[in-house]
Amino acid sequence: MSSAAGRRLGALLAVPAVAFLAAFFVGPLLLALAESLGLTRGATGTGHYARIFGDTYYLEVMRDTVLLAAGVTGAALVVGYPYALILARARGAAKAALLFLLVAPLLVTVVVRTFGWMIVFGRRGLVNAALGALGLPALDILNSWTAIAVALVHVLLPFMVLSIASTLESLDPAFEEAAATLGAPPWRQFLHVVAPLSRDGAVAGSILVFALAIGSFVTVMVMGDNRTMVLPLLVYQQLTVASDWPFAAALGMVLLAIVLAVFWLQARIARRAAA
Amino acid sequence: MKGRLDIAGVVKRYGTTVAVDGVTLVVPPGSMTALLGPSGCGKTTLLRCIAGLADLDAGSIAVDGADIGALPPWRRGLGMVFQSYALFPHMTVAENAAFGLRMRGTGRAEARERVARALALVRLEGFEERRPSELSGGQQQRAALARALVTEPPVLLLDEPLSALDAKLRHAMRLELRELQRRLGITTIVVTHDQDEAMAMADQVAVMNAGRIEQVASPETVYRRPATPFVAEFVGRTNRLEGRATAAGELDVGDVGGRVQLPMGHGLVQGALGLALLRPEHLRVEQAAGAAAPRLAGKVVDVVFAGDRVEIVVACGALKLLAVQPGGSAVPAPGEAVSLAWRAEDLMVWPR
Repeated sequence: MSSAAGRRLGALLAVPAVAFLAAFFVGPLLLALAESLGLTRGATGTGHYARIFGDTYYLEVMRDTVLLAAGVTGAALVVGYPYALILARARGAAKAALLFLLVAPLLVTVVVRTFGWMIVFGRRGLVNAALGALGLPALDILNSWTAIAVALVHVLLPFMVLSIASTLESLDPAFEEAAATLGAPPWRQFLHVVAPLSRDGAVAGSILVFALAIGSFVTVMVMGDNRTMVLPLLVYQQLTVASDWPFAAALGMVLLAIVLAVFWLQARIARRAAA
Repeated sequence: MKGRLDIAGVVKRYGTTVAVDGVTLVVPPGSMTALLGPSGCGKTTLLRCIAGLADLDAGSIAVDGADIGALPPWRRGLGMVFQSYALFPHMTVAENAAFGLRMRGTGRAEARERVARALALVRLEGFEERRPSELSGGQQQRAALARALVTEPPVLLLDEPLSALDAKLRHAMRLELRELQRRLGITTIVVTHDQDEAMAMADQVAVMNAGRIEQVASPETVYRRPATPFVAEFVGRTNRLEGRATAAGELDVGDVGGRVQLPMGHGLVQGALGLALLRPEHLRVEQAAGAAAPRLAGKVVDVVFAGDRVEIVVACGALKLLAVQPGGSAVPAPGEAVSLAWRAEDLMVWPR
């Protein structure tokens, strides 16, 4: 087969996937955009966007949403990197156990998992029982950003750890050994060689966790109250409670724009760091 | 001269496997020693023990009399070039070369000067700002060499330094490495499974087998007077004759249905099983049976022209023996009856 024919066949094989994406992803997205601008209901205009950006409540929700996602990403990176290091170097049964421990939260449905955390963080929950036993005052953790962030880090950690661990595993051990023979003790081997060479994995993991965290609303809905509002939950409420579809679509578009802006910023920083 | 390396009774085990089994070796200052052996003979493990990348189970390693066997690799101060070169892909050639100096806290100006000198040494001037991925295999190797040499270590360790290069480059780098080593007068240990490489580069060759050193000697001695059958068969090609010693100082080789005269001082008692090895270039193929030399009668099976030499396979009874003659010499045709002759002292004999 000539390479031109091979390319044509390759393009042909991509048709189902492209058609699927066009029909169920790009199409609805354009539809939502049209809806948010009122194109489907005759009253064309940017009124919904003006309402979002003109109201401090919505601006605060936007800020909280980004802060929550950023916080969860940061925490997952800090907790996940050491875990990934240990996982990448473990062998045999220890590795299997660490992997299971990591992905276990993904095997439990979000509602059950979240109720589990409510038991831990509740007024008379595990944390407060432990504090009480130590003679310390009880904390009001549930219905707080902290509780939501902890629950999100718990379930999103596998995405961070697995993407970092896979880069670490593909790292030639000779790099560290070379650094060692050149006079670098373990912490400098890590600082100068392992950390920079695993940056791609950390970036990929962070993008995944950020995207998943900024779009999650079940955890926020179950564990939070009306002081802990995020954009996706707002969208959900507009759809189910207020039945204001155009406004919900506009909020969704803003959420999408925020995510794209963050990724663009990240790519810019990465390029500058590489240059 | 500095850089004497003393390895004494080094043992390294992995679980129940003994990778290095009591190795003692002295590497004189400024010389190059090759650790030569088949894969799995423990040569790379021994090199890693010297570098500190593998812990010793027993024995000691000393540089200029100072025991370094218990030090971690970052405190040994030895230079090492890895088989994969292990150049840091996120750093430029200059940053790679400067790494050792950076770890030692050398000042910026001095470091720049020493990096420039090291890169000049390996002829990599002008490549300072390149990334390792932008270098050819040979250039990568030289960059790795510059990185190892920049701190002026007393001992340089090379792990299969030429195995990643293509054949032509390998020959050129072999000479270049040797020349560089001589010019710097740096004590060097090179691990290789390639006997030609070991012979061409090293002042002394340590042939390893199953975790032990079988012989340490000059390349010439290792080839001409191998201490064990293993060394004889690993370094260069050999023909094998096995049989029992007779009262008349001969070896009765059943496979060829004949007797072979043993050299003086062969050390075999009458009736003992013996192993005799003969190098192909020591065999002369003669069309007429001459006198006064040990010989075997046979029939030519195959003749292979290999440019500068001719390889002739001769069947003697159940054995096929290989003789190598210089190209251009008179060559018998396959099927021809010939006689293989050699000098008695060229027969290498061991008890079985």
